[in-house]
Amino acid sequence: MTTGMWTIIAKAWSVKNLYYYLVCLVTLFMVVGGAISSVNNAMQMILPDKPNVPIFYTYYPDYRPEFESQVFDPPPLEELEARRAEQENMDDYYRGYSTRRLLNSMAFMIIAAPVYIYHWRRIGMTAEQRGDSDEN
Amino acid sequence: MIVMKIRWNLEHVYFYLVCFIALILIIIGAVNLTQTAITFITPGYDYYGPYGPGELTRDLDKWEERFGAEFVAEEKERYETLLEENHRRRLMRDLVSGLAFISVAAPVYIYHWRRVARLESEQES
Repeated sequence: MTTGMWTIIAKAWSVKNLYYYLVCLVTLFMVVGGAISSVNNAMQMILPDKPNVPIFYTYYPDYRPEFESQVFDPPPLEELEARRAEQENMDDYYRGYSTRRLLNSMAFMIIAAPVYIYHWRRIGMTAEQRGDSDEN
Repeated sequence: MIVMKIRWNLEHVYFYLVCFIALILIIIGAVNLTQTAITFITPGYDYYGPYGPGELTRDLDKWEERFGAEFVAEEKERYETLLEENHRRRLMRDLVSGLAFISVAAPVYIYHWRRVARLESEQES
């Protein structure tokens, strides 16, 4: 290898170049990860699990000391239905988090993409200045 | 004497690294799809649900005695219908998730792999 070639390689491996490539690598996969995560969260919003609370889980037999055992004495059906509706509404409330998760994933993409584009252009400009893209 | 010309070009290293990570993502997507297909083929079993053998505290016979057999049957149908719908929705979500891994990572992989090939051919010429 000639001295000139070593100089070109040393320039290509400069801290500045290394920095640009590292930033590009990390931000590119932030965009990729954000895109995959966005699709998953969008699907979670479009096709969420429907709340499925068995009515039998809305009542638990009480322990009554006078009988020294559990007594099965559930309230009327209307009240059990109301309890189920309450539990299912709670489930709906937690499902609302998928909107937040979708926005979080999109934030990854929106913030990382311009950083990637900027640094990728800087790499191109540095290579043009060095004029070594075809030489090393 | 064999002389090995090692090209530790920064560009090369970057492109190979991107290809490596993108390929891993494609593999993860393919594994997800395979697992979804296996889940689709093999039926699920609701062992811990209110009607499963693992559930010993629901006293279904007492519910039947109090509210009637029809009520218990209706509840069972409602529960199993929702369970089945949720299972189908989960399968669909898993399918799209696997496809998302592949469809996002594959263009990245293809683009960077072509750039590697171009760099190699430029250097050889």
